[in-house]
Amino acid sequence: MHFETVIGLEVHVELNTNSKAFSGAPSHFGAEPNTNLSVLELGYPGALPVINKGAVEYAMKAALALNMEIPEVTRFDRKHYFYPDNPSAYQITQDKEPIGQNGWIEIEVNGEKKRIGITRLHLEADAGKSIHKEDHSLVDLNRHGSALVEIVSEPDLRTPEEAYLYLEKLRSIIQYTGVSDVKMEEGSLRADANISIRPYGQDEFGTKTELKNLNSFNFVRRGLEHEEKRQAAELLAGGEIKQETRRFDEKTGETILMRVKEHADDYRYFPEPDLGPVTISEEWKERVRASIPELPDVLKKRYVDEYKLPEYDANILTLAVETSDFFNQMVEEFGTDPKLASNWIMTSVTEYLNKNQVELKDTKITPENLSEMIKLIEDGTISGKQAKRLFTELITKGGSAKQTAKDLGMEQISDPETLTKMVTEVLDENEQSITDFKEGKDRAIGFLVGQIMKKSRGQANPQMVNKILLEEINKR
Amino acid sequence: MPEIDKKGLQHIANLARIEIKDEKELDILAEKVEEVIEHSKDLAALDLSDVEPLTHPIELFDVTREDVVDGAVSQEDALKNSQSTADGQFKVPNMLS
Repeated sequence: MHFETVIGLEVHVELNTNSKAFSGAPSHFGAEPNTNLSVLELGYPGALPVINKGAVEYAMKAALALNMEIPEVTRFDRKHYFYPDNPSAYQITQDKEPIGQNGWIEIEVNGEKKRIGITRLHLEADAGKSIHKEDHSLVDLNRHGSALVEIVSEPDLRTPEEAYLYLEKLRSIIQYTGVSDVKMEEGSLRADANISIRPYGQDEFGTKTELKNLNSFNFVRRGLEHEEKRQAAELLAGGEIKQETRRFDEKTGETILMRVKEHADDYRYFPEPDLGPVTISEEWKERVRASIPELPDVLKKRYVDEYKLPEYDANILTLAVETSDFFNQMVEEFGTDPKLASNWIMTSVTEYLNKNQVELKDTKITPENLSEMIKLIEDGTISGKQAKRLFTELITKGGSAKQTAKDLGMEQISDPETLTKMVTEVLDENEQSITDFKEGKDRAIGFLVGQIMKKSRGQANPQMVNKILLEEINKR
Repeated sequence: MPEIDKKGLQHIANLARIEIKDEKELDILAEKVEEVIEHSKDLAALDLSDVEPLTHPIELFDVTREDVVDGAVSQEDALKNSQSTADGQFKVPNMLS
């Protein structure tokens, strides 16, 4: 490679407040079109905004979790543009004094920790949603006015992989704070990327392009990979990079020109006249800070230090709060061995979720029944092979592991008394085998074990059968 | 001498979605904007170095509401003033073309 890549990301996260950022209209995903509106979102003259304190608090929580500074006074501004998804023709946002400033998060690149700066986090009103048809567009304003934070990174990312890791980390931190669902497929997390390249050693940045339509973290990575190659090829061929917006095409894996930016956007920001400033006291800040739960990095360290889990396991378990909650409950509440719990979550559970494209909460597996199942394997009630079948049953139908194992007739017989009785019966029925064994024919043991397993319909614990059989045969 | 050139004026009109039909209209507009600029020069004559910028006539801090839903307009009412609707949505000219 001749060039160094420079990437910055803008991530929009929708906050899961009950009401809109500046009105009391409901803010819920999946409502009938145009039913979550007040006169404010509809842009009626004279409709006045009022700041949702809960939205400010959620934005503070996200900012603090991202190691950001929060100013004593935060202010709102107007950003002007015409688009049908925003009838007032301006967006209430924060320009000069955003809620979050100068933060960072840490990512791990090839085993090395790297700190990525976060320039700002500001609270703003989301836009509505448009569906584009052949000769017209349809607008649903439900999302308009929902509380949104935009999180802007420093241009600290150097590879598409780093961008991917940054997004993954950012998403998990925000998810742990509980202020957003951070679901890309529902639009509660959206990412745009700025990318430029420059010869190694050069201080100034090259001209950047902006990538849109990045609907998954994978597309972010692929889009950036294509874009760094395209820019390098362009420069090497003697061309120049134009400041433009490009769209990632999922089918071809290429970026396609949307529009060239001839002059800088002219949004004519000015202080929002309808909203006064909000003061943020140290006391309020500390109260919000105290409400932030254990964040993924802290949790990860605890898993490694206390539970002796490999870094790899700890990393995967802390990517999503549902996973670590599930794991914590298995270990803390149901006393399952951490490594066994982690193994089951990372293999069978994950395989099932990926294969069926569902989330943990959509399945019937619970920390309780999975823990119970692991105990059944541990105490020899069921075999590893039976466990696989039992697991499938539990994750699809639910219920208690013990009862389900019983219903499936798969409980191993490990009770010494019952087994001794079976062994005695089989020995009584096979005098010849005893003689064979005494004469040194070890094969006879295999035959006898087979007979006992048959008698128990395959449910006898094989280790126990062996042990008891040897004891009993030697008595004769 | 106009303070504002016609290209700049055209740009501002465009940002405000004001359609200027011809050169004559542009001239009339230029004259009016010129008057406003002249008028605002009176302000520049004052020494305001000790005056803080004023963004709101009354400095009201911390006017907020709790995060509680207090109702919504019905879909029917929301769409009532729209010239064109379809499937419970506002129908507008194609935005992508």
